[in-house]
Amino acid sequence: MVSRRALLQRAVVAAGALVFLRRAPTAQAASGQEADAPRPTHTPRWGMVIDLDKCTSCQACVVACWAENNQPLPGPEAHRAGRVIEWMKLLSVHEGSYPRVRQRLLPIPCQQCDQPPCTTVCPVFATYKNPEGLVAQIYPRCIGCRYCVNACPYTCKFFNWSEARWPASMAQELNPDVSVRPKGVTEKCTFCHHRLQRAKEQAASEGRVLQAGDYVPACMQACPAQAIVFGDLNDPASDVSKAQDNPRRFRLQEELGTEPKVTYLSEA
Amino acid sequence: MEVTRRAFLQLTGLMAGTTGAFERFIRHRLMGLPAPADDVLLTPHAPEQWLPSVCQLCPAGCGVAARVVNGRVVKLEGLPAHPINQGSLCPRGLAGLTELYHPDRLLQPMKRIGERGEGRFEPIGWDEAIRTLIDRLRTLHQRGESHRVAWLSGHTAGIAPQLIERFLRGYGATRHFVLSPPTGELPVDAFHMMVDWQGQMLYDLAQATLILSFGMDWLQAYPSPVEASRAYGHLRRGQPDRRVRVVQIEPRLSVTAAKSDEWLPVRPGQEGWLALSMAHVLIRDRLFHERFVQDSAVGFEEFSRFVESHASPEQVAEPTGIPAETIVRVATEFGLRRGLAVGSRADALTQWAVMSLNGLVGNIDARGGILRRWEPEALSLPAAVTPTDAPMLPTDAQALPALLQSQQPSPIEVLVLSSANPCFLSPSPSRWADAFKAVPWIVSCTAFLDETALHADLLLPTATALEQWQYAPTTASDGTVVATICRPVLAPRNEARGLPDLILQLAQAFGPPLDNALPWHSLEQLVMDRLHALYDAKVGLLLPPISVPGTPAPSVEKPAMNVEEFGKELLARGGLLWPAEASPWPEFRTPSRQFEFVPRAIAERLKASPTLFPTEESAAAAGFPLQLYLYSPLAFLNGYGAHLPHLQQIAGSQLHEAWVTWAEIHPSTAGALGIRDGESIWVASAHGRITVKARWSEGIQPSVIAIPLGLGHTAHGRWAQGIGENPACLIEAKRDPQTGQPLWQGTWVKVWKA
Amino acid sequence: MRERLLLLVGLAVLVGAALYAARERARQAPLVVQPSIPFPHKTHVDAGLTCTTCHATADSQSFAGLPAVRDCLDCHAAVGADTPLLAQVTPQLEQAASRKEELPWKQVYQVPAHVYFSHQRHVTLARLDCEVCHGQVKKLTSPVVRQDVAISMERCVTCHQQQRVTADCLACHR
Repeated sequence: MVSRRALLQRAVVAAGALVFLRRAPTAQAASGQEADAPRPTHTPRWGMVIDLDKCTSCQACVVACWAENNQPLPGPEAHRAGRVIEWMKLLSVHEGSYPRVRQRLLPIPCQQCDQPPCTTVCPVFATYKNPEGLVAQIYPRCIGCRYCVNACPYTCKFFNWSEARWPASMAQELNPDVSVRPKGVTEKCTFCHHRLQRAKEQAASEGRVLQAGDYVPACMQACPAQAIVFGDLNDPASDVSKAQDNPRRFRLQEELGTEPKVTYLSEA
Repeated sequence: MEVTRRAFLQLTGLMAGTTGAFERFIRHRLMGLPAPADDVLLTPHAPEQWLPSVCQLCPAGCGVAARVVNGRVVKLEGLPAHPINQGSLCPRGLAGLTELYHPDRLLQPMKRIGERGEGRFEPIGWDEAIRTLIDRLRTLHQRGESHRVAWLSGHTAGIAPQLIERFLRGYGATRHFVLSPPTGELPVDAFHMMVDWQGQMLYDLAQATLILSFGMDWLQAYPSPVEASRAYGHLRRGQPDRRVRVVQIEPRLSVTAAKSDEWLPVRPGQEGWLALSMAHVLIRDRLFHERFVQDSAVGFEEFSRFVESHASPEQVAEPTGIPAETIVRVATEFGLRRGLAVGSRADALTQWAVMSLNGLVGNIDARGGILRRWEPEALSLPAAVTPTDAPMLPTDAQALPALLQSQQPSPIEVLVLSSANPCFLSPSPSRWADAFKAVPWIVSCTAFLDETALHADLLLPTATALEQWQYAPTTASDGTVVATICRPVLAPRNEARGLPDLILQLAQAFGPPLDNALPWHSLEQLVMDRLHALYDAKVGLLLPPISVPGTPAPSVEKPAMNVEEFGKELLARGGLLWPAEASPWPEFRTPSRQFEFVPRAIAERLKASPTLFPTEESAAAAGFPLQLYLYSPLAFLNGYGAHLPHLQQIAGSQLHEAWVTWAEIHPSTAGALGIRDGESIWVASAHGRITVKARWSEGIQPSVIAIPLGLGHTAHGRWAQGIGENPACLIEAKRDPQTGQPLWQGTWVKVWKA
Repeated sequence: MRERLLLLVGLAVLVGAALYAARERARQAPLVVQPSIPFPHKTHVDAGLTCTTCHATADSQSFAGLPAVRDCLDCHAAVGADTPLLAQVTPQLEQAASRKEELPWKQVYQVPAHVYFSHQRHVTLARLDCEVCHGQVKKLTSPVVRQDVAISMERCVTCHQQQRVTADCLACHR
């Protein structure tokens, strides 16, 4: 039986939540169009292809992502607790036994699902899929319930269990284009969305539409083996569309129907 | 609880009082509004800049573009169109920014006040530091004992090594010891014996037709990691309808082995037998390159005789653990495709065996094979005016501890260290600390208070690459030469000074004859000098202007007309390049002027005993049944990187390990010893023991236990100190008789549950 | 038992009310700062300067930019050197210039760190007048100490909706 006290506590929380949510605008109002840019002929749909036959598992993408996105510093305590935040991570899977053993090494960013399981469970609309297909996390809106963290089958959502801190000298490295997330909210790979914000503006200021190569996430830019291809899946002529059209293609846990926009090309 | 009106009112009053705190909480925590003065870090106030520089976390010399906002560097990217990295970077380079802003950097000259090794220092000014050092040097110089000064340097990139040599020569000292990294070096000793006694070698990986690697984890530990990764991507899927096969021979399923088409788990130390037996197959089946062998090589008959009688696939199958039919199949493929055999700087015999395979298929001075490093004349510094032309003495760094203690008093009175940390990274590191006790005075030029710096009497804080002028010539794997030339991205932190600047300042402060050998007041002056010389020489191509995605396109290129414009463009773009020259020298530089299949040193060794790679069953009998295999993950390339938290985190991703020293052991071996996955175990050799975390792995030869190098620091900043164990203390300080290099592999150990 | 229940309900209402009031205050109260120098915008605008003369990157960068103290001194070497106001601040300017420091300008119009706001986007691409967000700043004879227009997300969104430009969260959140 629910005690009266518990009931009242809930009522208070609910009232508080209402106060904070009352006038927050809805993201459905989003149009995804920039009046200030030349009207694009179509809405892009951002996607990525990772060619595992080119990838050398050097993890440049992992460190590039950390450096670009102001992710909290990893450390032994966070590692032991399984709380290291790494938007791009290397998954390693052993198959077979000695000497016929294979090890598959896969860099895993947010899969940017077209049917994201994480957004449907969010009670406050802090995570949603935007018109260009990016699964966004709006930090000030996130209440830290971690429903989405649990819902993500790729474990690509990360909760800030503690406050991100840097030694004073190292705080100078922080990327001014990206915010520092407070304790108690969930964060995730954004396909370096801040780079898109800037690239769109740059293109508009030059009076042109966004071109291939204007917007490149940090992981792709760093990759020495050029294993990552990124671009507009709605443009059949884009590199990413062409790369995707490959018999080696597969997507992670496709059977779940999440429709990831990250496609892998298998080794052989 | 009885609630009185009074209590109610008190509570209400309290709440009203806390409304202000609520408001602050809501404003700054919930709404995220910064306090008025809190906008400094995340608000740019001047247009961002992209400035060229060079990465110096390993000697490869990748060009970097530093993104500067508000005078601070917020990101490093690869310099686009730089021949080494073509706009990309490896994780080390990306983490390199943390080295600049590391909270535990040495930022001020210090002098020792405690005992050696105790770590008690007090800050002093630069003037005092330089004066103390100069006084010491001058006293020795006046006594005619210049030779009692020695320099020990570790991994030093850019112009510094040249300046050190000049400094020592100018001063009259003859000993410059250079520590070589434990893994990931190219087999230069074999190259010197068989191809070119004074040159440096390159593997033209990207053009190879098959890569057969003998124990070289070339995707992780390679002199130029970005080039290795770039080459791999290109070989696999970079060319239409062509996918180059990669075969890895190594006791452990390294990253390279995991990314290879085939992994041959050889017993440690037996890679050489495997190479020789493949040579046997190539000769037997006449799959070698007859023209190269006839026209450009000597010693083929002697070589064939040896491999025919001692290295048939059947003979080596047992010691190597690789079936004879596999050896024949791989060797045949290697011969038919004219593959590239990649080795590391292991013992001289293994190096020789692997190099001979490249000779057999004629892959020397050939595209997709072994190239020789060259450098255009215009890039080298003008000849020095030196008072002594005494040849530099052989300077085998591993012999230094014995030399220091060889006499009383020590033959070395002043020892200068730069970026060298032998007290952490050398076999039996404790012997270095003992040897240092014999040296009256030690100066360490270092960016961090590491294990070796703890033994110094004077600490001089060195600047990182971004804080210095750069004049860094280097050669890409395909033979393209690039000189990264640029200004500092930002001023050095606090009191740090670049090593080249420090050397030049010392020379100036010392006066004649040192200031003749090093006639520049600063590195800036040297760079400007060279810049004028390069302009006059009219050689080299300017790198293209920096363009980073999402940033304004660079203005249209116009040819540089005068020297000022040239200098401006050069420094803004980051350097000059020289396209590859296929074969800069017409002949091989060996005694016979041909490729030598059996160089003299090897011939003597073959005569002495045909058992080149003994399996040392005696060790197993003596109670040490497992062979220790050491490797460096890319994160800890050259044993360096544990002080950067991001590199710590990625070092063990293959097994999802981090911030601990783990040891890979086969489940069957572990099971027999009662060791479960994840348990703490002791690993002991005849020389020392450590506790590590056992990790079961199917990817390891069952008679082997593999441990990564790079962890186990007792100093070197907050992220390195006290994390993991240093397996170097298990290794006996043994040196290869031919090369003098330390032998890192081949230690026998026993293992038990801790 | 009844009293306790009443007390709890009362407390809940009070907490809610206090939170709401505090939030509204925080949202609507314009930011107030202490000025570092008594800078009169009006005098400069009347003298014919445009906004981008001093806020040089307002049309080309995300941030508007502030004049360097050197620019102030260079300009005032020729103009307005005799006004009492300038006489009052000149020592401060010169001191800053001699120390190679900048004036400690205070940023009055701020957005939180998780918001991407670009002046270029609004000034050059959307061709908004500065007054839309900065109010009557051109007419101020005293330094800017408070927001004339309170900057809030509600205001941003309302305007974006009116102007039919994107109101996608990701257009501004980062």
